[in-house]
Amino acid sequence: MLATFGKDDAKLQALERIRHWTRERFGLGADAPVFAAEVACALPGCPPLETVIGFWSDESTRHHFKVFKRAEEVTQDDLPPSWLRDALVVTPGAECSC
Amino acid sequence: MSATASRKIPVTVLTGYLGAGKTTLLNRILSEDHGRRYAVIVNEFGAIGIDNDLIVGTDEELFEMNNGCICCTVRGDLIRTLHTLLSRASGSGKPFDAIIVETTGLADPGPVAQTFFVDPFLHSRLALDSVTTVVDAKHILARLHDSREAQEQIAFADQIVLNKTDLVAPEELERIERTLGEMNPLAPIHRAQRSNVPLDRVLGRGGFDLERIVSLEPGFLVPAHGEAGHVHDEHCAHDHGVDRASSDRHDHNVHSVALTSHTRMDAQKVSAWLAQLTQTRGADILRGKGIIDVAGDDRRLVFQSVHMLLEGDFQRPWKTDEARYSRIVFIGRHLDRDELERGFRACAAARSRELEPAGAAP
Repeated sequence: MLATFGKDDAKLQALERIRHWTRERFGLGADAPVFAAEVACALPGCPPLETVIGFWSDESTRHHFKVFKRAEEVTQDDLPPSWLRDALVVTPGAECSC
Repeated sequence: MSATASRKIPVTVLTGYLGAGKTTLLNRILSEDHGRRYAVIVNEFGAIGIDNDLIVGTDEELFEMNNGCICCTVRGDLIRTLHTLLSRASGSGKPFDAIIVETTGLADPGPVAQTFFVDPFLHSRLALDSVTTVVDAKHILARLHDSREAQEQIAFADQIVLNKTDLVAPEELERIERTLGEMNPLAPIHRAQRSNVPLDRVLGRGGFDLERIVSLEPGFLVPAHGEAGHVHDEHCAHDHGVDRASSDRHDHNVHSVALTSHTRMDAQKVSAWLAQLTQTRGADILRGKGIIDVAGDDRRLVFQSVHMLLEGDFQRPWKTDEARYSRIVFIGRHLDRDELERGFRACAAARSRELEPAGAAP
């Protein structure tokens, strides 16, 4: 049957866990905006579901990475190492398709 | 959903082309004595407090989760600002009663709307109440001809404030309303001068609340004039002299397709078809809404979609004296009516097809 825009509890808990790990990994404050969502990718070659994470280290600096797994399957080891933080900065107009 | 939605903070998105009157409407909302505490997000503004309200400025930042896929694009500036607002409000113990987002005149409302559904953190705390599009009656037909953004703003609207009506002749107004109605038959049109639309008609609409969808568009989600089950009332198009041939359809490429069937549908088939359709054609199908008469179930199946995002659920039972039907509307670009109708008719329940002729009608 048709889904709803909302996620089930297990999915929400998994995404909240990923947000928490992201804060820890990259030394973000409790109020730093962290976005985590599971998206269905329709592009050729993409896994059917992937988890997208974004966070802001200041108002104009967004960091972005993906884990090619469902949110529930993501572990702490799937997150990039902390020293990659600067490499995750999104340059406007130069976003990769990965 | 409505019980949960009622606990969420409602968000009104005010959109419309440059000079349409969005800021005038926003000022009216903020200055009217309503006793509510608003957070307002506008572009290119600092963070200031006016009385009880907080106005926060942002710069438009598209967040493409998959490069080039409009269905996977949200507004990064909104995510950042809303996360911060909610965090501060929670910490201060003074939550906002409502949030208003005023977009720029050139903003695509698609990523704005998707932001509230794609981010689970925001979706669990906020309820997109409406996308309200303010339209300059004097210039809208020209803008629909030359601006993709103006077309998208009409397509995504839950309601349209047709502003500056004093600047055009009555017959021109009717022509504009026909054009807007063909592009987006789901959005009621409120005529206004200097954005003087009654605020109780603009706020608290519940435009994305699945339980309210059917009641919001009583004139559209019933069979059209001439079809079985049609009710002659104030929403009946022929009473308003709607003449599709005389509208400005060819001046724009956003249009709508409405499908009606009096054949009962197979719930599994219609669910699979809608899911496949939005996944494969979601870039072109900007909005979709519908009510489905399902075989073997006395409840109405209702759905809505925003690009690839789709949700649906069973609602109240059909009344015993109520004509049962299925009606779907899609708003978008490059919509192939024949293809959509074939897909829709193929969802008929097997027994219904044996007993009744296919009833899909334009």
